[in-house]
Amino acid sequence: MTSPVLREPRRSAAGYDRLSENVAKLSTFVRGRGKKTTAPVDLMPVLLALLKAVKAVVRYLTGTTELFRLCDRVLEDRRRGRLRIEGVAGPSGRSSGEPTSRVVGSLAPPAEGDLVERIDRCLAYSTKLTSERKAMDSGTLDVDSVVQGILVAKMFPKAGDPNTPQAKLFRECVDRIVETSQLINQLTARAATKFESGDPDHVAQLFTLWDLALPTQPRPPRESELWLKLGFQGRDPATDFRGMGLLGLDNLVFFAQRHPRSMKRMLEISHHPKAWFSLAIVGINMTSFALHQLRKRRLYSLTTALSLGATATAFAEFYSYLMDAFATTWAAHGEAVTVMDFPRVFKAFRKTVKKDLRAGRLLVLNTAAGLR
Amino acid sequence: MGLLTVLKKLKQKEKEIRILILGLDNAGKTTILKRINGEDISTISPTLGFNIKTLDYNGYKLNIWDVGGQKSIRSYWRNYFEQTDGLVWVVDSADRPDRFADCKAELHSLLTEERLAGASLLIFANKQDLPGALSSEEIAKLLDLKAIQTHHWQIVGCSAVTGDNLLTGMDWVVTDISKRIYMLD
Repeated sequence: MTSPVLREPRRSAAGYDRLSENVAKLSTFVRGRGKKTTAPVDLMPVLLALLKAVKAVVRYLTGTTELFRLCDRVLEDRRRGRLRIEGVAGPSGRSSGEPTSRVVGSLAPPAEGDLVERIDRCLAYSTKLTSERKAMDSGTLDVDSVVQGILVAKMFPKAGDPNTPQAKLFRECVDRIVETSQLINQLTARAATKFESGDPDHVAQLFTLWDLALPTQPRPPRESELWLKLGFQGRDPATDFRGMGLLGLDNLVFFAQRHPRSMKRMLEISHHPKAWFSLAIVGINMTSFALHQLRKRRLYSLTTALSLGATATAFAEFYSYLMDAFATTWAAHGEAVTVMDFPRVFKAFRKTVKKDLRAGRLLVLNTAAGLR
Repeated sequence: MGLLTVLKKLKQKEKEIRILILGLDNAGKTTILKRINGEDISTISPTLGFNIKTLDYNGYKLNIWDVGGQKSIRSYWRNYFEQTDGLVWVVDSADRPDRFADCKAELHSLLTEERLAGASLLIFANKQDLPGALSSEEIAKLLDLKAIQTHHWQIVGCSAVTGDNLLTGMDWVVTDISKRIYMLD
């Protein structure tokens, strides 16, 4: 039997060039040649339609909408004293960094973060509120009028009066959603900002990282093998900041600055003669993972519980927790791992973190910012 | 399991091709892999360790291994040589001049590896979209490709970002391999 490649007439090179000009087409082309990822039936639309039908029935029977019911239920729970944020392990003042990651506090029952998440999802799935949702994502909107529109459309009491308890709670949630959108936009822009070797600010920040992480050692030249000590790939750290841009550097500097002992511990672990890893590269991969969690809006329980709110600092605290926890995880493997096991170890680590986030755990080092 | 199924399985197994992507750090190996696989390439972090992807391509099942290129993990490259049918060597065509010597030395030392003997060699002169990128001819000269007698090789100027010529290169390497190992089909 002849293989398909040999049997098929060779496609002309010009044809390929034309195809590769169009980036979007390219991916479908490759996929089309293979049999990758073609589920027999896409179930999603069917399920969504079913869900909508159920909602319509409930709405008809009770005269309330899901958004209203979500808010009302939380208020009801509060009245009964069921919803309280309970003890976060460890002190929550800001002392100098204690390098331990056993300090995962937990919010006893799913609290406000959970409500924000559900309202967010509710808005995302609503076909009638797509423009409102888009406005929230862009972070530039007249919150008052958008909220008012939703209150009326979603049949909040007293013809959408913004002063009812349910309406006020809803407004708080929308504020969190908008705040998060703004943060996502801000950090995405930072991640898209390239590290420019010609920019004195960028270079200064790189040296700051060195001073904070290795305070006893003199600064290396801008390009030097010494940067490998911090876990960069080569002589020039600039190339490593592709992908996560200045956000990767911001995060590393924050970690070294606010949690110096944790950074020191992680550096020591990363310098293990056998089970070494490249700290800065892990850091950049961690920024990417943390940003993805934020974009997927999985950090509501964190940002609603912290007094910092959805800010770059809260994000960086989350990042610091991740770095510290990763160091612990890696060290626990002892000499059973080498740097080539990083993908496997990191994958398992990400899975654990996602589980913790879903469970509403407060993933910050205990020295981080206090609660609201 | 019927006899036909067994035969089919064997057949499928036969059609597997193992490709190893190597090159210096920041050459664009992961970007190429993700682009070929139709994934988002806007935020790619440096590879610590390796990535592996399996994709179907012209009736072949390609197992593509992309191993990180930083100097300190190059000593691990050899763990991935076994059964490699094709080696894709990725070059940053806009790299700093002093790195091409390193690039050439690493490539030529790979070619002396017994376990890579017989593997088809594709050189991707990547990042052709960048200003100041050297042409594939210039790269061929810098890497002294003419001296390579031991392997079938081909150099292709490409850009993982725009997608230019990636398929040309992949087609060459898959065809070259299939001619060699599946000739009896």
